[in-house]
Parts: sequence; structure tokens; C-alpha cells
Amino acid sequence: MTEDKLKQSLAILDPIRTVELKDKTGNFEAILQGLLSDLEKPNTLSVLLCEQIAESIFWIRWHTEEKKSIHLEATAEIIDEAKSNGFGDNRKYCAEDIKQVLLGDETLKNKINDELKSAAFNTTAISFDSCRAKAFLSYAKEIKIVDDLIQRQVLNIRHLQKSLNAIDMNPRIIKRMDLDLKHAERDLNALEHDP
Amino acid sequence: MTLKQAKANRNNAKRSTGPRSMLGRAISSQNSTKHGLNQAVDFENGDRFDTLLKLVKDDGYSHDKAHSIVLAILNHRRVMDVYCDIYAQPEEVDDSTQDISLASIRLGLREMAEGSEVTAYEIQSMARLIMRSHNEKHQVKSASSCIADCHKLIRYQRNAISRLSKAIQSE
Repeated sequence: MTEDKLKQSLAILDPIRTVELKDKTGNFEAILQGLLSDLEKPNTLSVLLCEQIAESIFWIRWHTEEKKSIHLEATAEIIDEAKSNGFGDNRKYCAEDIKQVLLGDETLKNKINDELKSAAFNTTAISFDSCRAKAFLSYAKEIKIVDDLIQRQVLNIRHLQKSLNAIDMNPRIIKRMDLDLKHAERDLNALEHDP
Repeated sequence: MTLKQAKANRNNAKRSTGPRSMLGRAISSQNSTKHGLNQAVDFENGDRFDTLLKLVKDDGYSHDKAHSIVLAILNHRRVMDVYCDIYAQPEEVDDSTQDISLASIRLGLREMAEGSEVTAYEIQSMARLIMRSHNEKHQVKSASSCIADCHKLIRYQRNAISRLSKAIQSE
């Protein structure tokens, strides 16, 4: 049943697709298909709205990942800066290393802490955690911008959802109310004709 | 700055009438172009508009309502397409264009402009413009640069989405 709905929706959408994301991960398509399969009665407008909602969800996920990577990259940068005492531009750690530490790699964390403590003239930060806090402070502006972008996409979804409700959910509610009304009328008639 | 200097600056500025040649004017006309979302666009003169209008009308909407819905959708798409373009990955770098340099562009432009009234300054500006555009095309933008560019589109998104919402939900 759901697969039929999905096929029906895709048949409507494919010739009129408006979103052209170069998404190699396939995330967008997966989100879109999930939304389309939930449509009660697919038509041009409802599939187009689902496409826009899927795009907004895709961007929310994208910006969330971006926010994480900004923080990880900034932490790696601060650690390298602290170790090198402001001299040279040797990058040793990258975002992936910081991710490993956050996932529980204690050995790497201890190694970083030791390096920070033994670095001469290190005035930046003395531990991994303080580097993380410092990274957050230095990139607070960027993180705030990403938060704004996510917030905008959430509001976009809210608008699109309301519109979708107006064209897909409301007819369903009206149909149900009609059935309820008919049912009530039948009961009333039955009562009136009851001897 | 002294009063005398300020007066001299004003007098000098009066003598400048901006770029004179076609090329110079073409360059300066692009000075403030960032995303082009402030420009008016005629959505109605497009195949996409006609197709969508027909399909939405087929769903049972009146001509006027379908018209405003399709316009609002295309307007929303216009903003979101710019948003997507900010993150668009560069195309595969072609070896023949990789060695491009400012000097080689300048040389090429000078040869092309021979005999015309194009000034050396205009050639230099055009070469910079081409170089910048080449670099933009062949380099992955940094994350912070992308988010800053996207942030500028927030107000356009807000307007486009509320217009779309109104068009659909209006009686």
C-alpha cells in the first residue's frame, strides 16, 4: 500500500522536480521517499511541498554536521597552536583525531594532554578540555550563524507543513467529519422512526 | 584630513566620469552583484511556469489561485537554488585550465583589445575578475565562508516561504 503511494507520488514528481541538490549521500532521496509514502492522496502540489520539506530536513542535517565539524576543526587548531607556541604552521591533529577522543580514545587524549603540558611557553591552554572550551569561544560567531540557519529551516518546515496540512490533511478531516455526520443522522432517523 | 584636501578630493572626483569603454562599463556593472535575488524576475515567461500552472489547475484549483501558488513556488525555488549553489562542489579541474595565471589572462585581453579604447586599468580589472571567477569555480569554499553566504539569504527565505504559505492557505 505504502509502496503504491510512493510509486504514484514519484510518478507525479519526477517530471516536475524542482530541487536540484548534488547530494551524493542519498540522504535527500531517502527523506523525500519517506515523506511521499505518507501522503494520503498525492497530487502535484502535495508532492512539490514534500520535496521542499525534504530539502529543508536535508539542510538541517547538513548544518548540524557542519556545526560539529567547525567545533572539531577549531579544537584541533587550538591544540596545534598551543603545542607550537605560536611558532610555525605545523598541523598535527585534525578534526578526525578530536572525534576519536570524544568517542572515548583515552590514549590519544592523554597523549594530547602530555604534549600540551610539556610544550614550553604554552599560554593558550593546558588540557584537551580547555582547548575545546577555547575553540567554542573562538568560533562562537560561526556556531551562532549555523544555529540561525538551522532555525530558519525549522521555520520553513513549519510553514510548509501547515500548507501541506491545508491541502492533504484537511480534506481527510472533512471526509471523516462527513462520515461522522452521516452516521449521526442515520442514528437520529432510526430514533425518530423507532415506535 | 584638512578642509583644503577634502575640497581637492571633491574636485578631483568631479573629473572622474567612471568607466568609458563598453568593457569597463561591463566590469563595473557587476561590482555589487552577489546573488541577484533583489532583481525582478519574470517567472511567467518560462516553460516550467506553464507546466506547473497546468498541473496545479488540473488538481482543481482556480486559475488565480494556481497562478499565485506557482509564482510563490518558483520564487521560493529561486532563493533555495542560490542556497544550494553556495555549497555546490566545484567541477572536476581540467588540466588545460589549471595553469591559468593573471599574467596570461592580461596578455590575452591586451591582444583582444588592441586598437580599441580600452585602458590598461580596465584590462587589469577584467583579468582580476576572470581570475577570481576561475578560482571560485575551482576551489572548495571553506565552511565558514559558505555559512556566512547562506546567512545573507535568511531574509529572502523568510519572505519567499511566507508568500508560498499565504498563497496555498488563502481561501
